[in-house]
Amino acid sequence: MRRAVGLALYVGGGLMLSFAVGRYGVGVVRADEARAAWNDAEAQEAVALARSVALPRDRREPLVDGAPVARLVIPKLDFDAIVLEGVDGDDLNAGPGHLPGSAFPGEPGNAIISAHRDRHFNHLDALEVGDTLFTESGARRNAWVVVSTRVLDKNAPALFHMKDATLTLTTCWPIRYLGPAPDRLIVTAKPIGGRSTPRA
Amino acid sequence: MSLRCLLVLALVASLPGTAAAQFTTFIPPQTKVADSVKAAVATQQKVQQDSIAQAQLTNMKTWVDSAAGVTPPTTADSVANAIAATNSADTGAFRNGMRAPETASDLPLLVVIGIAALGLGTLLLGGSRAPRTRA
Repeated sequence: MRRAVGLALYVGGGLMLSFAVGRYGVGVVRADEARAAWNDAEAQEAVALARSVALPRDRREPLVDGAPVARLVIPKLDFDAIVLEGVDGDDLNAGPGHLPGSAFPGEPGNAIISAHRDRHFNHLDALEVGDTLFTESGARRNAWVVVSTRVLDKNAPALFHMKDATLTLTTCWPIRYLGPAPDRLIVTAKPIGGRSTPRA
Repeated sequence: MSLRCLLVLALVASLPGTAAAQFTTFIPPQTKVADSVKAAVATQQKVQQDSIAQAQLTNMKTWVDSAAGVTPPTTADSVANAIAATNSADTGAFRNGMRAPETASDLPLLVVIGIAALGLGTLLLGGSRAPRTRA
């Protein structure tokens, strides 16, 4: 009996670990693919997105779920990742996700980027008001300054339309927590200088 | 007199007594229920009248506001919209007032449970093997 229980725990634990490690592995591979796609198609995508930016938002072609849409750099956290379109489980497993329907970084409106607290945004709590971030999306490169950090209940209304360019980063809170986290960390940033600059 | 006559007389003499005894123990129902029903009906009517009066006053205020060119606030609508947005899915497209996306991950919990189960299983398996080697 004791041997049977031990064997069941051994096998069950092994399966859980294999699943978790496999999921992390798939995320790393997809993140690498996204970065390669971003680097390869940078020029074309920059042109395409620059053209689409000139159109009204409701007339643009919707982006494919999982497509690389931006690059997010946070020097303080030594963070550099490619942002994918979508915030479902597979997208967030591979990288930070851009919430569909929200603005792209640098456009007028609220650009919302979310990521898991145990992976890409595992040090987001270290960001403070005044810290700087950088984004690249299409032909735009933006520098941002953090203007607020808030912790909200996970069911609280947290994301709102903005007229001005705004960058909102979200992840779960507390960062170090086992199981479904009860709160959300919302970091809001505004563009430095109030406008975006074309990439060199 | 015949026996039948005597029996009829006895019945006539005894029945009113029995009936009287029964009726004396009868307690007629008091009018409390009826009174309470009346009171309840009266209260309800009063409340209805009050609410009607209040509605009339509200309508009057709305009418005065509209006549003065003041747009009435749409608080109820905005609250309902906010609740609807809050209850909406948090993995769909962006909506004003929506919740933050679901970024909770079960993988760290799975890793911890997996390591614990693996360790415990190894201990149990090792412990069950030890007596055999001794024997």
